[in-house]
Amino acid sequence: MSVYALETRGLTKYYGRHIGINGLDIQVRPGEIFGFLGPNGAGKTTTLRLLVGLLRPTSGSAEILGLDMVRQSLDIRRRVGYIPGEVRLFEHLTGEETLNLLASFRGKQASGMLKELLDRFELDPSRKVSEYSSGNRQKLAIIQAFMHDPEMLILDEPTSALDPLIRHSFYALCREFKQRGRTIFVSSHILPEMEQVCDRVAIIRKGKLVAVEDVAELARKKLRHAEFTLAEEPRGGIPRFASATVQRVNGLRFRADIRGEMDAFVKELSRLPIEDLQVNHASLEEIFLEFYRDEADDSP
Amino acid sequence: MIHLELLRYELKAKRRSILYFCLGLIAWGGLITSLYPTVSGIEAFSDYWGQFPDTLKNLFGGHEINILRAEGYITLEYYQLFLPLIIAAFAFSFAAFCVARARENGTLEILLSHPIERRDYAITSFVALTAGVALLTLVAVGTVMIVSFFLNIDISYAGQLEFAASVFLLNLGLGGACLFASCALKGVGQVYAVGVTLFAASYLVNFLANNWTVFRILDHGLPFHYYDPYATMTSGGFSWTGVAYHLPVAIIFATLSVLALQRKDIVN
Repeated sequence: MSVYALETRGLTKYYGRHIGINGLDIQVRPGEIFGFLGPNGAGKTTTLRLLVGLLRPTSGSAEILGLDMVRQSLDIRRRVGYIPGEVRLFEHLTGEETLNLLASFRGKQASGMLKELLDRFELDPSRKVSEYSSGNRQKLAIIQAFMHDPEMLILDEPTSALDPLIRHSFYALCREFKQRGRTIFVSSHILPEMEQVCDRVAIIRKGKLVAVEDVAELARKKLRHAEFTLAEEPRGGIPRFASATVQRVNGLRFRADIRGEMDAFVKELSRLPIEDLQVNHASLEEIFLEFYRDEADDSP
Repeated sequence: MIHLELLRYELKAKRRSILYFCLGLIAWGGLITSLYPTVSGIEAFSDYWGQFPDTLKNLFGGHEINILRAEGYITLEYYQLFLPLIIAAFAFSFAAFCVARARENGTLEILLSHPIERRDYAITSFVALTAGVALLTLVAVGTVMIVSFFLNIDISYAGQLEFAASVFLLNLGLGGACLFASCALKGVGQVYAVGVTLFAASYLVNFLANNWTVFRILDHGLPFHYYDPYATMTSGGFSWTGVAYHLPVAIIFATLSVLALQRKDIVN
């Protein structure tokens, strides 16, 4: 049995001749929030649908909470909460009727946290779903996924229709779940959010895993920009650094894209007459774009 | 096996459709039946039917029909084609709604991401379909029986109940085929296409078989061969042959629905 809360091994899904995901190997540790990043069509939704048994894999396998994804799908679904990528609910039912219908599949464990969640997200369950705004529909989808206090959450772009305040509240809820040892596997393309909430992120492109990184490690390793002003024009024009690529911004002001350790850059910079220095961290988004730029460069 | 909350949801979701179908059946059945006392006294009406060639009569219920008899008149005007067509339309729409439409509108994704077996989902949908078809059948035949009672029309109530069982089983089989199509195929349009094709082809082959023996072998395999409202109402014996055909057909299609849904990828 896997020690991971979620482990996929060579998970592959083809739609006819078209590839959904190809040989996906991911390990998610118990109690972590794991971000799954990728552009539209990368295979995020396919992966999540495979995990909750909505799709059958072409090849490969996965274990969730120690259970086989295909053979024990029903047991998995008892223990996970899922938010689909496109939340489309039962238009003719009220919010309450929707939650009762979905809770009926789970029996006694169904709605232990329901009242707390309704209060937290300020959702009126007496109204018909057809009268809900897209934000309220998303809240209903969140509530139905969390209400039975699942051991693991599989969330497909859960904040896409939420305003910033509710989004903040949602991520606070995720952190609380994590503190209680719950595991969260969340797909998104909103990178700053993932940076704030996730322990690790995987990046997927064209159905293939590009990278899995620890967010804290990524923050340490990631690209930094420095802008510095020199007291005088350096000999030989733009200074050359082994640790960074330098461009002139204007006059005596230069911009350096630093790769690797900061220490090496500072040592090189200290040889120059510095008048001003400003260092900025690149966002995950820039890292993300960097990944894709590299991949695009590799492609024929 | 049967999930009661899901059953209630599926019937509730189609409650308006069921209501409108019932109102239409009450209005049409009531009108047709209430006209019988007047029509049965018009000799020209009988003569008009008598002028039809047998070949053509077979298209509307058979050349042996006596339309001066209440059962013959109701067969010609209502039971032979119109009623099964109406109930079949409901069955096609219900079968399409349960899986194909739910898949298209995304609700199947959220339902099946919960701990429910696909087998149970398909069986519950079949039970809901059965309940809907049974209700419409009872409303249609009940209307004819009630109006006949108040207008003192000489009609066999036992024959009406035997006919109700016959039309119910016919549409359960057709609905079952559509439920299978709903589970196996991609879209709602394909489900309707299967239903309409099956209905029309079966009716046509039955008409051809009643006129030309060469079509009889083919006809034996299709549902309208086992559907004969006039004989059911007048021959004074329950059509067990019809039951022996329609019931296994419905069960086979329900089983195929379960197998198809279990293999189906749920994508919108």
